[in-house]
Amino acid sequence: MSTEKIEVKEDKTIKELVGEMSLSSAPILLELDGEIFYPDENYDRKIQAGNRLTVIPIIAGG
Amino acid sequence: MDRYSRQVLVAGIGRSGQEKLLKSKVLIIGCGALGTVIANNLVRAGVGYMKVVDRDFVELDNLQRQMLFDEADVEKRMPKAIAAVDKLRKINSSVKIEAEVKDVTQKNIEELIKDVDIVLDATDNLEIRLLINDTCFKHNIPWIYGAAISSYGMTMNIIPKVTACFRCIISSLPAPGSVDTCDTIGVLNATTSIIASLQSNEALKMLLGDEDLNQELLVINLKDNSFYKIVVKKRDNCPLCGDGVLEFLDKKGPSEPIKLCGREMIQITPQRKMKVSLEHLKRKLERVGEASYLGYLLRFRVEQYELTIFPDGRAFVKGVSDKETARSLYAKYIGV
Repeated sequence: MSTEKIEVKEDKTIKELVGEMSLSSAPILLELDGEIFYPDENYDRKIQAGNRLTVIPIIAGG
Repeated sequence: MDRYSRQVLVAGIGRSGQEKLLKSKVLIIGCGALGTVIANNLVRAGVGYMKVVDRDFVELDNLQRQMLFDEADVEKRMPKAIAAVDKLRKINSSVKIEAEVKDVTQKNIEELIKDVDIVLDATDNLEIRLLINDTCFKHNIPWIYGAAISSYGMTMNIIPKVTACFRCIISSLPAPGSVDTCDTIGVLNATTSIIASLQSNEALKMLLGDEDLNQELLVINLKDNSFYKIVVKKRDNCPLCGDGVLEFLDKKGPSEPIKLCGREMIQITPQRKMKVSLEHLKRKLERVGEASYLGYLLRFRVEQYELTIFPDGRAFVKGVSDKETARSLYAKYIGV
């Protein structure tokens, strides 16, 4: 468990990306070029091949 | 004041700061790996009053990271809150400390937070944090989120109406089983100790009125020793920050565990409609117990317990007679 850096292979939307990664129902934040955003508020946002995103899982253990 | 002399010397504290701490009141919800370290730090630092709430008993596999417990507590099956408070009183008898052995729910949380200056989150699931978030927002009390699993941890100060709230970060509860827990992927004691120390330090700063508070989500990973801060903005459509909707505090629903008649079995029903991937959950649970997926349900055996989990997130917990243990097992292994 940690943040995960991914390089986007082809143009797609955020919704497609989180769906492919099986993260649709997981609590996460995304970071792209220093900007942090909530995936579900940005489902239609397009990301391009070559973009590097960081997935930040929000966790519950304690 | 002598016992705090080294702390009083720190720039920005002094005698007046220490006096503020001695008058302060804190609530710690959860007394496991995070809660024991937070309580230890704050009692030694000289907060005036502390309430520690936890629903669990001390078990052998807690001792690796839950710093206030020992083998005698395991043998006696001591409630964590009681065992912790016994130790804390020996550490600093001048602090007024209360233990509450209970499950924190929407029915009792407002009574628990009454009159405290801040709330420290040392819990183990997201649902309780959303409840703390609602309650603290309603009563305008700052709280400090903290969480840790494996070598990964995070903390954030949540100040009602100032910072983003927890509902901004998590707009809705994820499906049961979609979140890893310490009981499914483990946790290092260094991770919990560091996160808890950061939380207790931020608590002292809040109590002292320090303006240099952390307003970001602080994330650590001990695998590569990375520490970084993430600016979390308020969500545009946050039901709590935007409209003041206290969904988790005000909710009414079939969330209360139900004891099934004549059997050592308790049914847990999630608050919301959910769809659980039982195949995914099986892969996680088979690392820590015996899990079998039967197409329409998942059966999981660990220690003396058996959990039967359905695709809607409902579960039967067998081998327990009390609701708190059933809830605790559900949070540990299924998550949320």
